[in-house]
Amino acid sequence: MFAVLVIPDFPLQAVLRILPAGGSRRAVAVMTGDPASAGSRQVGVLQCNAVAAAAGVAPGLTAPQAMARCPGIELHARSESAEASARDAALAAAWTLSPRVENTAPGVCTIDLRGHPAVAGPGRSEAGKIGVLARAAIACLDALGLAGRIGIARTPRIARYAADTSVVALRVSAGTPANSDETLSRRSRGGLHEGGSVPGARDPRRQVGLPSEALAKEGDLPYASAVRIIAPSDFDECAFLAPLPIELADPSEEQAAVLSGWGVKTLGGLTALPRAEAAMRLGEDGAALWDRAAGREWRVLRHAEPPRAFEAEVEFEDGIETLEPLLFLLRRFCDQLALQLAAANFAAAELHLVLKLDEGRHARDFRLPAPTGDAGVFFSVLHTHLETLKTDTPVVALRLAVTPTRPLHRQQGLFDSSLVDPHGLNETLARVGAVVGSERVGVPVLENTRRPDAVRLGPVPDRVSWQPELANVALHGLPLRRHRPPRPARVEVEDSRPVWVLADGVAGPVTAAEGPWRGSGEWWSAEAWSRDEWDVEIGGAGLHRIFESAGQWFVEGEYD
Amino acid sequence: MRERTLSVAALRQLVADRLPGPADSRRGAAALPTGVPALDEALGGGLASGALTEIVSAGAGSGGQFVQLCLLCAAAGLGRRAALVDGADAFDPQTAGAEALRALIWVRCGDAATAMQAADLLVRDANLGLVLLDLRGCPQSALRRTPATAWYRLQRAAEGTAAPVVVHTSQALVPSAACRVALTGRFGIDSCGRPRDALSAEVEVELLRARWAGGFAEAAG
Repeated sequence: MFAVLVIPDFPLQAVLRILPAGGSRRAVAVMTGDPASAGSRQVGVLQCNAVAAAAGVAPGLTAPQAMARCPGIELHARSESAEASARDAALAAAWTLSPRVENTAPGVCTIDLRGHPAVAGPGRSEAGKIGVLARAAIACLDALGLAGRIGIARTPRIARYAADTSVVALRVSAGTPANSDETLSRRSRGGLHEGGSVPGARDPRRQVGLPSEALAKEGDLPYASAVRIIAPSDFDECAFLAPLPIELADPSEEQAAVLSGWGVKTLGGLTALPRAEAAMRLGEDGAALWDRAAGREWRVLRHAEPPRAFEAEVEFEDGIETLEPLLFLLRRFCDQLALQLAAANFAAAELHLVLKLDEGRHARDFRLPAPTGDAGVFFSVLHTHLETLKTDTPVVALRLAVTPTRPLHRQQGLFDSSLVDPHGLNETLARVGAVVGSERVGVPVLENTRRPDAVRLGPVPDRVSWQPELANVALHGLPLRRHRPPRPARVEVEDSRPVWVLADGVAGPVTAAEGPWRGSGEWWSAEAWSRDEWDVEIGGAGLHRIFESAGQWFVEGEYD
Repeated sequence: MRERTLSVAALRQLVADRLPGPADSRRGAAALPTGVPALDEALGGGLASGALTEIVSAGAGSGGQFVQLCLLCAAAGLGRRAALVDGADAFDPQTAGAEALRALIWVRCGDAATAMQAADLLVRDANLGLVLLDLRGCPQSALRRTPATAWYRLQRAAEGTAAPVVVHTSQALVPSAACRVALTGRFGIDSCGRPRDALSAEVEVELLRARWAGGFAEAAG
């Protein structure tokens, strides 16, 4: 068995996918060239959505003609980056069905289901299983902003016919119901009638022999109409193929003219002729056409390589200046990358976001606290960062990449304490970082030096490790509260000992002092330091640490 | 004036007797022992979970930072992760000790307003077993500008978690604190050479406010 995933009006859907939410409610058309070019009269409408079609816009019209019929229409050039991104999304959805997927054409993926457990048996239950999986794939695709349909049959050709003729309400905006203004015009295939169905075609659910109760139940399922399964039997296949228009078999112009002269308008009409006779009159190509019409065309699939780099990027026709459209698209990218990661049994370790600006670029890497394939986590991390980001110029391109890693499987130590929700903490810390600065949140890590205040902030580990008693490191005295930077002070000295201290917030006679504690280090570098420290008790002001460095006195902090 | 104070206290007692609040029921259920005997005694066993505790320490030598480290060590000892929101960026990891740093998340703030915002976010995170908001060193003028609603918001957020929330101030400040203690002792220079374990017994604590099963108690201050 093979499945064919078809995304109708692929260039249009690819462009609509990167438009802000609600783009499909406006009249939109994709042109054969750049509509902004000087020769816009030579630029024609390639595809348009239902809103534009309702206003009288049709493929083939020039830009001025389209604008005359629909003054508010948005004309977009085909976008290579958008189509590449949509192709990746389609492949990701196809890989949820089988690892053997061919990128047959833009918007068409052929999936080899042979050996798949859900189709291994001839019974009706197997057909039901693969139907469920196919609907799930369509749902994935919908979440990625693409409307597709799937045909499943014994050969790739029949599966393609089934996909092309399945009844589907095309949706182009995730999360919105498939009705009226979200529906694309169905003009891409000449053989399609209103609603995408073919007169006389049998109910696909009957073709797999499901009982009537099951049929009613199946019909109520979401995306049920976007999946068509042709049972692998000669009778069912012939009954399905017979009424289909001959154009679906892709005859050449010459063959179409000859067949028209013969009065052959359907696949069944051609296959009713003996193959040898048809080949004798139409030549070798005619035999191939007959095979295609009979659904007997066999070919070896060229399997698409699973992605080695998990990334998605798109360039915008017009720069984006607000957050919402960016988030809209990022959510799509997150879903798509999560799907690709899941298909390859990977999880994300890091996210890399690059915003190409009109002038310059903004890049940021996000390390995830624990490997995850959850698109929601990806999105919340990015959302938190972008909420506080301000750029001087509009965003003209977006790129999101993921560093893959194997999902984390480990056994915790008996006394280790792991986080309840590592990604929740990461999200919280990102939000805190947005308030105080991301470089000012983390786990304190002591540098391997004796230089005062040599500390940096490191990432938060995902567990608190158990440690035995740390009694070997005996701590003495009160801890220090530092003044950052140290406060300059005036210190009176008698007999080489401080007797009076005057600094911001600290003033008084020294009632007791211990020191000096001499320290120096890194004499070999430009950051050489040398100082004499004193612990002093100042009358009425408590315990403090003061130090002298290069002839200057400072109050470093207070012991508390 | 005294009569009025008494009548308010009596009214609070009456309400506490008849309508035991959520803090009351939590009190005995979960508490984080601090490891400082005087503080544990004043708090009735330790820091109350899901409640605001205010620790007031007047200045250098009172042992405020030492108590803070004891709290961090106590949380780490139980495998709880602690967040320290450092309002004046005064925490010194070099003298804190490895145990205090083991489970610590340090948020270095520049002012009281950002510290309040950061604490408000952290208190809501279920991963944290202790949240310390250190506002010592922040200008009093800025702290006084903090609206009371912000403190009650923090209290409400704390009630939704199992983590104790400690606000460390240099003057009594938090109107929504379930418990307020003051560190009244003063360490001398001789403490610098003594083992830290021995110092915990010398911390002096005075209970200024307590609001739990025993009802409301408002001491001077």
